[in-house]
Amino acid sequence: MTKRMYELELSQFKEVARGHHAPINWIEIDRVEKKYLLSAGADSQIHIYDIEEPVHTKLWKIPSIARVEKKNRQKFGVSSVAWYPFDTGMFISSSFDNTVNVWDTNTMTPACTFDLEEKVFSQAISPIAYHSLVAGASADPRVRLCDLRSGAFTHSLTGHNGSVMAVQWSTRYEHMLVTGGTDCTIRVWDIRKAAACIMSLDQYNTEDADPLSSTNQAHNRPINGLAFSSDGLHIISLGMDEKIRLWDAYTGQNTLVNYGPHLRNRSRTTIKPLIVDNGIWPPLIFIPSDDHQVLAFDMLDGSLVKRLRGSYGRVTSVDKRPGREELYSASKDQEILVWEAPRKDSELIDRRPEAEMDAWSSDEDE
Amino acid sequence: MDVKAREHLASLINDITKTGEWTLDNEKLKEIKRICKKSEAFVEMSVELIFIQLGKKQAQIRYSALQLVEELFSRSHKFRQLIAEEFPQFLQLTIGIHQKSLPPPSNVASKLKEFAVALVKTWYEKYGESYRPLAIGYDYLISSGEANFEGSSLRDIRSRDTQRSQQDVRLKAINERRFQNIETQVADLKDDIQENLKNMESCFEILVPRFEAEQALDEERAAGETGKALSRGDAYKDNIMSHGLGSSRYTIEIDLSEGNVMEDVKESEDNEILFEKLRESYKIMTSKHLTKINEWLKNLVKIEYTDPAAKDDLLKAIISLKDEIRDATRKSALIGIDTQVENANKEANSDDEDDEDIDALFEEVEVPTLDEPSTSVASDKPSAVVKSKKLPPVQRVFPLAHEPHMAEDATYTSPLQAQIERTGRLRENSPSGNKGKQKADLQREELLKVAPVVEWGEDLYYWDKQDVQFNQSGLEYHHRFLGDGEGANKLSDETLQSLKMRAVYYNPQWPEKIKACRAPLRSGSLCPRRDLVTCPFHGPIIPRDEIGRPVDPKTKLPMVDLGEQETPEVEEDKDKSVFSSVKAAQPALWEQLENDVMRQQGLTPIESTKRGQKRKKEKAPSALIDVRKKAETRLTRLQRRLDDPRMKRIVEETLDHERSMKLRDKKANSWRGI
Repeated sequence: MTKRMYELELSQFKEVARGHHAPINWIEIDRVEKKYLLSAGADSQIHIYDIEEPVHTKLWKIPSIARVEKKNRQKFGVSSVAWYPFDTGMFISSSFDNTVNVWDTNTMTPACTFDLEEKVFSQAISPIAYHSLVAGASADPRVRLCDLRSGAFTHSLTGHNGSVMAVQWSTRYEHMLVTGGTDCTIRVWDIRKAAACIMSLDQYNTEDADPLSSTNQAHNRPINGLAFSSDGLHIISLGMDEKIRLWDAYTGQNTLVNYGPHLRNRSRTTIKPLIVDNGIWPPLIFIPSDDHQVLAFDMLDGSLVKRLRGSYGRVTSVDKRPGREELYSASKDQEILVWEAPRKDSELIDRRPEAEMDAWSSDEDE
Repeated sequence: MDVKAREHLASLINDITKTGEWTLDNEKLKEIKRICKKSEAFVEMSVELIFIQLGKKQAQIRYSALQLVEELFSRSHKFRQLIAEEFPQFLQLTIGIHQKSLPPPSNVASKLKEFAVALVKTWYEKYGESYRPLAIGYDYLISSGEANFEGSSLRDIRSRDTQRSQQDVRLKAINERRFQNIETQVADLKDDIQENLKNMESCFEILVPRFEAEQALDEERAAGETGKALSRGDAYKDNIMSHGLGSSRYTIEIDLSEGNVMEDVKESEDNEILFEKLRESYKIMTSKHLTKINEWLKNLVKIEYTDPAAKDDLLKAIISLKDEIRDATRKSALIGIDTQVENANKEANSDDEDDEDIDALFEEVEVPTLDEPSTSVASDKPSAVVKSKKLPPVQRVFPLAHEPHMAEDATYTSPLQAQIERTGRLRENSPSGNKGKQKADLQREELLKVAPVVEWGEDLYYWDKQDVQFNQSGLEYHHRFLGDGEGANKLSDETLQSLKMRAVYYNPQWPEKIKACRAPLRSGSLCPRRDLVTCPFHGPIIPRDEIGRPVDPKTKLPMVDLGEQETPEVEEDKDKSVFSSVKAAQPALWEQLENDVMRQQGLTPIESTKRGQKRKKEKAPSALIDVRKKAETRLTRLQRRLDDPRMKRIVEETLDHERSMKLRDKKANSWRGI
């Protein structure tokens, strides 16, 4: 399985039909049925694809099974989407028109709207907790928590100095939230506490320092991407200083893994990296890069494993289909690319197409 | 891997893409294919090399590289894989996606894009299923609207390419043929034209007697230019006497204006045949030859011939013919043949228009009036002034000395030689001339021939004096302070020396007519600027031939017609500039020295051409358009001149000087500072 994950290449059998007419900002695959792909575009369109393949097809173009009617669309582009973790009947989106919306999947209509009064860069809902709080990261320094049950804001987490670009819930502790912003800090919150911010990550691991010191910086430039490992022990952060940092989520220490100078990350939009650690060792991280690639690194020693090239625009988001070696990447060229491990079926060798044969003419012999 | 094979492949790919032609070189293509077939390593290498060529900022190179890609793509699976892997970059370089525009020249760039789009389409149809990146790229191109797939198909483009390259070859051949055609025509007709001209010339000679035949006129000239006249004293005297002139102080004016010729040469029964013949020749000349020549010139300028030297030679020959014809036309106009012919047939009008065109094209060159055949007038108008400004070399030192109006000036002493001559004449008049004296006179004459003619002055008086006495009255003068003299009453040596000196005031005279630069311009005409020494665009003004090429100073300098109107100093400048150009043409001094040393040591001297070639590699003929070359504009030319280090230095020096002068003035004006 590890090996197959390391051998990802452009899928010969699947492709996602072009649905958006603007850059795609975010994709997410549900964790319940593991076959629905949500994609959000800058054309304020949201598409749902069924990526479960029918058997025995040559090249299957995955069609969009649902999309938002024009009258229900948001005013501006959708910045991020997330499935409700326990049911595919609901999903949440954040938009640049200052709102976080909750959608009914069956009717594709908004069920509930939270107005955050500033444009929302991203939102997150805890994948394990039953508290049903959606954290919205917006141009406002406060991180707002929206309660899906009541349809109202519960908290405002104050501490950041600028816009909050990225937000993630811990996959281990249901009350733990991590946010990163343009003030170059990554803050860890415990939403149960009155003084919610428990620490601000420090890239230099300064000894005996106050975990909330105002001099703590996680990157030298704004932070625009965050991801938790599935065991909740590690956090990956992407900064616009083109660095990737791996943090110990428990202690808040920088693990100082050097991922090299490969990443290109200069655009001020939230991007979605991915940690793949279920069933493979060493774990891989997939980082979307501005130079039209997805970079795959070994998470623990930082070596570059593979470059997934093929996209025609800046890659904004990657997601892996749970339980399969299938990776989906969305980019600004309006296309979602499917990456797959090569299949080793015996029938494949038979139907190796004629096109792959060499065709040297005989007159070049001598 | 074999380094040599790698280098070979690199040079092959480099060469094949740098021809700039629309089609690939077949031989080289085959060689590349042969190498690539050997192993996949070579294929990988070739992809790498091709991508380098595709990255060049010159659309023609990219076009050729793309053609190479097409060839290899259809053959090798490995090649296809590698290209597919780099497909986004490939599209970026050939179609120009991601806001990356294609490099100049723009016409080739558009063709490149068209070709690449057609190629992607065919690839997609054939290989789209097996190579996913191809399909994705194709999809991207469609959705982004960066390429129009409804354009021409690959077959169209390929046939267009071959067509275009064939057209190039054909055009070259046509030009060659045209040039040869003109060449033969010129060779055929040249004799005809020259014969015709000769006929006309001989007619003119009969009708209008040559100037040289007039002995009397020669003598009159001699009176003005005394240097020549001495040797023919007797004849001269007789002549003067026969014309009833007693002295040389008369001025003789000979009117040689062209207007007279018309009046004097009239058609009569005697010369009717001559006139008839002239008219006929004139007609042939204007109607047939001149039109032909104009036609040749027009065609020849248009043709881009491979050998410019041959073209220039031919052009020169034609232009010299044209000049001769123009000369003949002018002469016939003088005796009124052209009007007669025109009256005879009005069709000749078109030719005259051509003539006017020529006049507009070519600068009017004044033909020296003295050479003009003129008759009759000379002896009838004795009181005339010789108006020649062309002076014998010695007189150029003091040009004023021979201005005729000076002779009438009472304060003016005529040149020494004239005086001597006059005295000599007096002596001859007196019968008491013995033989010894005559011998001495002969010697004297010999000497006088070479002696310079100088205006009379004080210094000449003292010239041969050894000691000059003064105050010979015997009375003693006492000086108030210096007291008595020593009694020698002689001028001291220094004083005498200083008296022998002459102060000459240089009075520069600007030429009345400044010659044009006449360097060839790009438009085909000659530079009409008139500057004294240097044309700001074409450098020093040097004698040039009819088409503006500098006359080769070694062989043809004597035949250069230096303008009649020019004053000596301008001529000198010209000589200097010619000299400098000669120097530039000759090898540098160190080269000469080196050659000498080599020769002495028994080694063959290095040829200067070889030296140059060593540094500058012979460039292979290529149709590549130089995209880095900036267009030559007025601004760049001015900029170049401003950036000239010499110019900068001059400006700096001037500024420095001004500054220092200002400082000095400031110091001079501050009184209190001390």
